[in-house]
Amino acid sequence: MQKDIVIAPVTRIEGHAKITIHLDNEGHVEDARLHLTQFRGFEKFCEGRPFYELPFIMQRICGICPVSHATASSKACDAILSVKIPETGPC
Amino acid sequence: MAKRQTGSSQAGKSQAKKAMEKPAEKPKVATVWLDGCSGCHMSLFDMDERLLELAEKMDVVYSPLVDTKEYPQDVDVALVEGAVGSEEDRRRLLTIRERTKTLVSLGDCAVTSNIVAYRNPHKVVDLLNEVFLENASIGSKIPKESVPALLPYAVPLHEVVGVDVFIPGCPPSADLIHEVISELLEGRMPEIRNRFG
Repeated sequence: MQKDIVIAPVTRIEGHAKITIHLDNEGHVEDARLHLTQFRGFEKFCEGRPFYELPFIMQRICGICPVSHATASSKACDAILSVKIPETGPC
Repeated sequence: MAKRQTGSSQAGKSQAKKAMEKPAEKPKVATVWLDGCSGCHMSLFDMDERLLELAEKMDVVYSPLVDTKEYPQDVDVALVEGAVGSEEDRRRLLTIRERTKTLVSLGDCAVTSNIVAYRNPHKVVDLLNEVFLENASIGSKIPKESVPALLPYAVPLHEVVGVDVFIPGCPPSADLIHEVISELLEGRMPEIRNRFG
């Protein structure tokens, strides 16, 4: 008998997810899917905003790893300005 | 939808007091993520050793950090992070309100819908097209099965249900969260003095 095993929500992770496992007539796994059930649309709403806002907005993608988003966004801003940040000198 | 009184109203005060009148049992506390980034929960952890002191005084019955799948009945205090962005967020929030004595909007997304509302000037279909069709590197397809439908606008919690306490901030400071939880556990309605977390 075909059957779906649903794990919802997946706990102890950052974000929102659900797992569906489809079993075929013999009870073997036919397909398994991870569904991300949250969508905010950063890719769209960031378009047209002043670039210097972005390192702050990007940090809100994830409250656990805001540092990586801030760094990536700051590097993108450096590229927009065509500036090259020098290496940190000796203390 | 009948809205309950919000803020530190008289109704809210008596409710918080009522919630704490069970001496034998520790107050049941829940924490929830709706449409947010979990930064407010990280701030909650920033209470550090004060968490141990709070753990003595309350039972965490539901949270993304524990494995309970279904929101329990008779929760005394719920801290809800994130805005209401999908049908599922809305459904969950209605259940939470029904089963909770004191509902706390935790952080700016819950209080104002904050960054989550940046999508509101756009149509949902345009957002989905941009992300899943135009910019997809593999398998361009808009997911429809098993994911909740987005609401046309992301809204703060109090647009959907009555809220008893608001904790502002992006994220709110650990000190502020600690103060609010401690006050609620003592049966008092906290006064939020700092509007900006």
